[in-house]
Amino acid sequence: MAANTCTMPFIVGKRKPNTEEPVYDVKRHLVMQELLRKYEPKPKKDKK
Amino acid sequence: MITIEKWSTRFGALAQGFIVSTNRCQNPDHFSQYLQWCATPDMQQGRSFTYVAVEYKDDGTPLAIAGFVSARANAFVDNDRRCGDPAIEITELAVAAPYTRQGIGLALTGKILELGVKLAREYIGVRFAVLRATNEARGFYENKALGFRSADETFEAVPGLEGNQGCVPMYLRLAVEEITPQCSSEDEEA
Repeated sequence: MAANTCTMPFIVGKRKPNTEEPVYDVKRHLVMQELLRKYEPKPKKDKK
Repeated sequence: MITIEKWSTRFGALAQGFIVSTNRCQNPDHFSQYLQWCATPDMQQGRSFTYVAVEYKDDGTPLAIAGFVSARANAFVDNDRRCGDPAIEITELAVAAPYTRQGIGLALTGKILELGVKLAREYIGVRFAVLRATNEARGFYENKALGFRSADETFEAVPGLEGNQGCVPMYLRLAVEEITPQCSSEDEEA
């Protein structure tokens, strides 16, 4: 699962006709928020 | 318990034990070395920001780094229109061998996408998420929950451009205009 570490700006050429743009939409956003809740740090309990 | 939080030098002792599977990565040593030597200075110097998935023991002490992701500001440039849009770039993503196939890579990637949305909603414009994946990782980013696509599916290659050689440039537009009105919360009430 490794992304490369190139330092170039992300440059694309001419848009191909009749192609659909990938979108991180509301549906994905809500699913991801639910997933991320599992990994939220829990507040530390105060020691008395 | 595994939590995702900002990289801190207090996790430094765990970085040496961060080992990714050799089956899933061409250069597995890179990631341990990145955590040990680059994550802290990159954060201090504003080059990138790292989040780690940390497993904790029951007594609250950190046990291991399950994975990490790094990100920075970049630009999504349409060479044809000579126009750029602001983007958040995932520069590193790795999951330690014992923690693969548990959704940690997905959550770490999602952490950055959600960060991009939050930045766009509250602080500074961000319109795209971008990354350069290895061929082995391409399928992961195309996961339905993420939805990245290779740039060559929707754009023609730029003649003579070398920056994308040896990797798969992938992108995703953050639909901030959709997400903002439907998912508004405490910030609108302030």
